[in-house]
Amino acid sequence: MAQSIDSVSEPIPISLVSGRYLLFDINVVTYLRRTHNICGVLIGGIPQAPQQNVFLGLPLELIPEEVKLLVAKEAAYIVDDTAWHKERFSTLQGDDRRKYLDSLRSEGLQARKATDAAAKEKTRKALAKQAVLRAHNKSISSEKSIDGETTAAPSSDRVDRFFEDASESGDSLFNNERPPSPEPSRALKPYFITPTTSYSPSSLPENPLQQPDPPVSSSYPLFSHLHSRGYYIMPGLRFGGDYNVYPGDPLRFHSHFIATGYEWDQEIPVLDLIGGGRLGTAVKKGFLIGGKDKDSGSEGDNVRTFCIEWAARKMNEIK
Amino acid sequence: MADINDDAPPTSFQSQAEDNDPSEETQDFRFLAALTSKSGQLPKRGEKDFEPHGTKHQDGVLEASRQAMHDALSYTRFHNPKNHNRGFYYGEGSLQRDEILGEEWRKGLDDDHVVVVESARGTHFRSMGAMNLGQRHGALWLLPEEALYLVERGNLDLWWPTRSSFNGMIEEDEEGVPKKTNQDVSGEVDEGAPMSLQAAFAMLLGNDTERGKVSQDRYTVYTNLKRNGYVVLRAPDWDPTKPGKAHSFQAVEPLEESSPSIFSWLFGRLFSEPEVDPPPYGPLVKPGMYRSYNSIYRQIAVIPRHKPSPTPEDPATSSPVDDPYRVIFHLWKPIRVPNFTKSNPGVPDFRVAIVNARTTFVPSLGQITSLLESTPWDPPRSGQGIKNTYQKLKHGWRNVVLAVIDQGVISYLRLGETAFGEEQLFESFDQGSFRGNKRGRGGGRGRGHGRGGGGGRGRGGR
Amino acid sequence: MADTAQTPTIDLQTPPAHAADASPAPSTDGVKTSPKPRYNGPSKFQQLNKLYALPAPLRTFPLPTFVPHNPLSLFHILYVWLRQAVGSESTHFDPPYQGWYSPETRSIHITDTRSIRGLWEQGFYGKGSLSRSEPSWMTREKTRRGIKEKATSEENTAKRRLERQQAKWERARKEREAIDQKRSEEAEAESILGGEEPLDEVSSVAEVIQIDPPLPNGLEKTIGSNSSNADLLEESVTVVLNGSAKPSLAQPTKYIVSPVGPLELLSLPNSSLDSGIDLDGTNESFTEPHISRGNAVLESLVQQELTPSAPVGPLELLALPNSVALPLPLETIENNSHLEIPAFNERVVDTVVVDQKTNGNTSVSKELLPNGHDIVEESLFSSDPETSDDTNNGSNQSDETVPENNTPNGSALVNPFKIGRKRAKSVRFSPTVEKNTFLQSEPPHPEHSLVAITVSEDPSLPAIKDQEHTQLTLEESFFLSYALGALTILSPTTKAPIPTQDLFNLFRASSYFPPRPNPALRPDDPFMINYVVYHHFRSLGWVPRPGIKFSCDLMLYNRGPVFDHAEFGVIILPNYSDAYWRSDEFLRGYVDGKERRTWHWMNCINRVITQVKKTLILCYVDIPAPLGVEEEEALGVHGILGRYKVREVVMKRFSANRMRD
Repeated sequence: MAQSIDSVSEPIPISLVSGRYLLFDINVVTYLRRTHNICGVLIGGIPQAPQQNVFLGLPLELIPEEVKLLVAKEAAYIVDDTAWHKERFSTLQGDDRRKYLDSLRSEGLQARKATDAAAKEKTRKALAKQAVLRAHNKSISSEKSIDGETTAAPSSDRVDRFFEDASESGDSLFNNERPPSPEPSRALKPYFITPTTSYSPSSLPENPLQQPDPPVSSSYPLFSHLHSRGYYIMPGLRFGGDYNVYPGDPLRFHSHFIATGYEWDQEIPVLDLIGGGRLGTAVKKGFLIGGKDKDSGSEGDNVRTFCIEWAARKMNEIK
Repeated sequence: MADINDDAPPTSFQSQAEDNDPSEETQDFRFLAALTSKSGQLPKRGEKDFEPHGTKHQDGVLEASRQAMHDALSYTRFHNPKNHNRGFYYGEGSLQRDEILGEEWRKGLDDDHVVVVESARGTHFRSMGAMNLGQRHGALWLLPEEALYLVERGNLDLWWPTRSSFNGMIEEDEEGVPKKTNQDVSGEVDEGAPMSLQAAFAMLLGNDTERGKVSQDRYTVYTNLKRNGYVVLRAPDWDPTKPGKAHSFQAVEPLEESSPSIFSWLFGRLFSEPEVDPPPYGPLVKPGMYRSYNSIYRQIAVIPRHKPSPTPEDPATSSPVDDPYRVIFHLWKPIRVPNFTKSNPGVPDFRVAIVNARTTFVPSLGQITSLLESTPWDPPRSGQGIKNTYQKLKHGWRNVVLAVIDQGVISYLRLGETAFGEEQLFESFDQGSFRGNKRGRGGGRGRGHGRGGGGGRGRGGR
Repeated sequence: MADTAQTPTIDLQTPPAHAADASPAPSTDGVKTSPKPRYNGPSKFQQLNKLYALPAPLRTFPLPTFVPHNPLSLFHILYVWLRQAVGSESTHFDPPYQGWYSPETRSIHITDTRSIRGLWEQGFYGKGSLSRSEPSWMTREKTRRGIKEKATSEENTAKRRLERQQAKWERARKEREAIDQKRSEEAEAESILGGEEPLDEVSSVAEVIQIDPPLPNGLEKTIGSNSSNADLLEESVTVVLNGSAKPSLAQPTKYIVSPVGPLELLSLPNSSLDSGIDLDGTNESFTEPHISRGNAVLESLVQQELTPSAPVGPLELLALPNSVALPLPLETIENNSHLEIPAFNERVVDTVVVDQKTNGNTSVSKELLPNGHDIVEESLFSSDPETSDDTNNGSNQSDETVPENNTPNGSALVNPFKIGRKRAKSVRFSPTVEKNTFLQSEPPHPEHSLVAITVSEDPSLPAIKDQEHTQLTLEESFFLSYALGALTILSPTTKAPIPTQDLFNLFRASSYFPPRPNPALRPDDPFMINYVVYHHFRSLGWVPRPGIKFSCDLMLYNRGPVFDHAEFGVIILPNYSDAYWRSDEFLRGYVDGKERRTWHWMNCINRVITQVKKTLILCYVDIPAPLGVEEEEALGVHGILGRYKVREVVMKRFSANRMRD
C-alpha cells in the first residue's frame, strides 16, 4: 500500500457483506484505532504466517455497535459491497480495465525485484556459509544454515521486508510454497498481485443516502457509554460477557472489565451476578453491568454502571 | 504451495496452557516475527500494561506496536509464476457456471462449486475442491469457503472471468502449458480481471442458503480450523433414514448384582417382599431392616434415567430446516493430513455445528438431542473405579463440537451425551471402602476390592 | 429427644457407624467423640472412612461373606442372621433426625447436635450456618480461645490468603514506584532539553471510585428466583459503585489513573474494612447476606432503629452485618429456662433480631414477626445467645457495642467456670419480649437447655455454647424426609411434625418469591425442578451440594467433600417439550422466557467451572404438562416425580489447538 494513514478522510466507507461490516484498508483500520478508539476484530489470515490463529489479518470485522457509533458521528457510511463489486466488474472495460491491470503489473514487478534481490542475497550467504561449514563438518543440517540467515536478512523497503519475513518463515516453518528461484530469470516478469482492497482513495464508493441501521445489541447504550469515556471495547463472548473493556489499546493493555448490559428494569438472577463476579475476579477483571435509565430526564446518556467483585477472599482476610 | 506437513502450527502454541490461549487476547504485533522464527515463543500474559500511566516510554511502546500491526497488515499478496494458481469466479453476478459448463460436465459438483482452478498445484488440493467428472478434461472446482481461504492465504489468484477466459482454461488444460497467463499487453486476450481480497469477500460471502455463498460465521470457523491444520470438509447431507437419531427414556432397570454371595442372596430372598408401590407420600425407603445399600437405593429410583443406545427407540424429531444446531463440518486432525484423500476420507475425528451467539440461545433438549443423535455412537471405554467413572461421564456416548461465534470471536465447546444413570455410584456403598477401616484397608477409595458386606437384595421382614 | 438426654457426652450422638459389626455394645463409639482425627494411630483415610462410614443416614445389616472352603463361615452367617432376627434391628435410626422449618430462610434448621453430626457424617447433608460447609464453628471457636491447638482449614486458608494479599500489595507498590521513577526520569530529561513542559504532577491515587449513596436501583431489582439457595451463599458479592468518577481516557496524552489500579483497588471500601473490623472468627455470618437483600436488610435495620446512623453506602452496608452481629456471639446472653432473671436489655434483643435476619435469607417484613409461639417455649429458645466471654481475647470488641447495664447473673449455676470472671455477663430475656422478637428463624428447641448442660459437664472444656445450627436446603430436607424417611420436620408454629404431603406443597409454594398460595402450584415450580435433579443424583449415590459458590445449581461429589473435590458442576435447564407448553400464545411466550439462555451466560458459567478444574453438566429437566390437584394426589409423589425426565449433557471447552493430535 502506497498510501499512508494520512490519506484517510472521513467519512469512511464500511463494506456491508452478508450482514457483516468489514474493512479491508489497513490505513482505515489504523486510523480508526488511533482516532476513534475503534478496534474491531481481525478475522482474516496473514499470508506471512498462514497456519496460526494468534496473529490475524484483514479484513477487520466491526461489530454493529461500532458501526452505529461511527455512522452516528458521521465518521463513516455503509456500502453494500456485493452490489458495488457486481457493478464494478461488469463495467470494468477498456481504459479502466487497462489502468487497473497496469497498476497491478507495476506492483507485481516491484515485488518481483524485491524477491529476486532477497533471493540473491540469500543464495550468496548460503553458499558462503555452506563453504565454511563444509570445511568443518560435512553432515551439517540445512535447517541450521537457514536459521543463521534469518537474523541476518537485510531489508530496507517495507514490502521487501515482509516478503523477506514471509519467505524466511516459510522456509523454516511452513516450507514456503514460493522458494526464491535460484536462477533469476532473464527478463523480469511481474508477479501476479491480489490487491487487498478494491477502493482507491480517488474513487471511493458513493455515500448512499439510505443507510440500513446496524442491528445493534440491546447493550448498545452501555457500549456507547463506555466508549465515550475513552475505553476500547472488544466482543466479550469468550469471557462470558457482552464486551471486553480495555483502558487503552488492546494491543498493549489488558482488559479491565467484562461488561454486560441489562435493561433498566430487567431482573438479574443472582446466580448470574455470582458467576460474573467470580469469573471477573479470577481473571483480574471487574464484572461490570450497566444499563440505561429510560425514565431519567437528566442530561447525558443516563447510563449507570456497577462493578461487581467476588469478595470471598477479602472476607476471609478481614479475619 | 506449502507442503502439507507444514500445516502444523509452530510448536510454541501447543505448549500453551488452556487458560493461556494466546488467540484469546489481542496480540502485540511486534512479536509476529518471534512467532514465525523457529524458536519463537509468544510472550506470556502479563507483558502488557495494566493501564496507561502517561510515560513517554509507554506511549512509545504502544506506537511501535501499532506500527508493527500496520506493517504486517500492509502485506500485498503476490503470486510467483512457479506456483501460480489462477481461479475464475462463476458465481452470482458473474458468468453463470451452469451456462458455461454443460450438464454432463457438472457431474460430481455441488451447486456451491463456483470457482474453477486453472491449474491446481500444491497439496492443498488434496483436501479441497472437487473434480467435475464425466468429461475427459476434468477441472478442479472449489466451494466458496475453500476459494476464499486460498485467496486469503495468498495461494489463489482469483479472477473475474470473461467468456474467453473459460475457454482459455480448457485449452491450457489440454496442452498442459499455461500459455496465456503471461500475455503481453499488446497481444492481450481479455481474460477478465483479478479480484481483490475485498472483491472475493464481497462475492463469496452471503447467506448459506444462497447458491455459491458461504455465511460469514461458517467461513470464520472454517478458516480458523484450517489455520489450525485440520482437514475441514462439509458434512454430507444428513440422512434421516440412518439409525442413531433418537433418544429413549427407559424405565429403570433392575440392578445387576455382579457377584452376590449366594448365601446372603438366599437369606435375602427369604425375607424379600413383592415389589409394591411406595405409599403416596413416602417414605420410599419403608421402615425395616435392609441388608444392603443396593436394596435401599433401589427403592428410591423413581425418576426415569436416560439409557443411551446406538439405536434409540424414540428418535428425536429431525431438526427443522432453520435449526442452527446441525452438523456442518467434519474435521480430521492434522496428523491425518499426510494420508488424507478426498475420495476416501475415513471417519472424521470431530463433527462441528456452528451457532451465532447473538441470534441463538443455549439449545433446548430437543435441539441438542437431535444434534447429538445425528452423530455416530461413540461409547466410552469401560473401566472400574471412580476415575474411570469420571472419564466415562465426561466422554459420553455421542459427542459434537459446537462453535459459538460472536462477531468473529469463536468459542469451541464439546458437547457429549452423557448418562449418569449408567454410573450407579451406590453400588460401591456395599463394598470395602465404606467399611475399609474394619478390614484394615483405610486407604482404599471405592476401588471395588473387598466386597465386605454381602449384597443381600431383600429387606427385613418388619 | 429422650435419646439425647440420656447420652452422657455431647458428641456421642452418632449412631453406630458400621452395622456390620452388629455388636450389641456401642462402646466402640467412644472413638467418635471428636470429629477430628486423633493424633496418632490410624491414617487419615482410615479415620475418614471410619467417621464417614455410612453413605446415608440409614444402616444396613449385611450378612458375613460365605467362604466356601471354610465351613465355619456358614455358622457365622447363621449366627448373625439369628441375632439380627431376634434383635429387631431397623435400618432407620430411632428416633429420626429432626429439624425445624424456617419460612424466612426457606430452609430447614437443625439445632440438635445429634442431628447435626448425623446428617453431616452420613451423607454430607446441610451446611453450618457459621461455616463454609461442615458445621465447625465450635472447633474454630475453641481454637480461637486457645483451647484447641489445631487450626481449622478455614483458619489456614485465611492465613494463606492474608499472606498472598500482602504480597500483592507489595508488588503493586513496586510497580507504582517504577512508573513514578520512569515519569520523573522523563520529566528530567525533558527539562534538561528545555523542551516541552514537564508532565503534570500526579498523586499516586488520583481518583478513587466514588461511592453513590443509595443502593443502585438496578440492584434493588435483583431479587431473583434463586433466593432459595441464598442462605447457602458462602461468599458474598461486594458491590462497588463506579458512578461519576469514571476517568476519561479520551485524551491519550493526559495522565490518568483509572479507578482500577492495584493501589486504588486496595483503597476501595473493602480495604477500609480490613483495618476497622475484626470478624473474630465469626466472619462466616457476614457472608450470609445476599446481594439482593442488601436493601431489605437495611430497611429492617432502620425500622428497628438500631443503628445510630442510617447506613446508606456500600461501605456501611458491608460493615453492617458484621459490626452489628459480631458482638453478640461474644456476649454472654444466658437464656436458660430454669433461671429466670428478668434483666432485659432491649437493645441487645433488637440486635439479636437483626442478627437473625442477616443470617437468614430474604427480608423479613414486620408482619411476619409476631407469631403464635408459646411463651414458655420461647423462653427456652436461644440458639445464638449463650456464650461466655471468658477468654481474654484482645480483639474482642463486644464492649463497645453492648451496653454496660447487662445484669450479671446466675450463669454460674450452670457453668462453674464462670464464677468470678470479670467479664462474665449474661443477658436474660423476659418471656414477653421474646415473644415479640424471637421468631421463626431460630425455632425454639426444647432440647436446648439439656445440651447446654451437657457441655458444661465436660470438665475439660470451658462452657462454650455452640451457636451454630445446620441449614438444610428444601431439596435436601425433602429427600431425607420423603425418600429416606430419616428426618422429621417440625413446624415452628405448632411444634408438631409436618406431614410429608403438607411439606410437599409447602416447599413448592415457598420456592417462589414471594411464596405462592398452594392452588397456583405448577409442574415447573422451582422446588419441583430442583428436587427432581437433586433426587436424581442422590438416588444414584452422588453427594449433591449447593453450587451457588460456583454459580451453578449443584456440585456433585463422590462420597463427599471431605474425600475429594467435586468433579462436576450442574446447571439445571428446564425444558418444555410436552405439546401442552406450545398450545397457546401465552404459554409459548412463557416457555421461551424460561428456556432461552444466552451463550454469554453459558460461557461465563463454563469458564468459572473450568477455572476450578471441574466439568460442567447441563441437566435438562423435561417438564410434564400440569395436572389437577386430584390427579396429583392420585399419583403420589413418586408418580409425580416419575413424569419428569432428566437428561445430562456434558460440556467442555474444546481447544482446537490442543485437540490436534
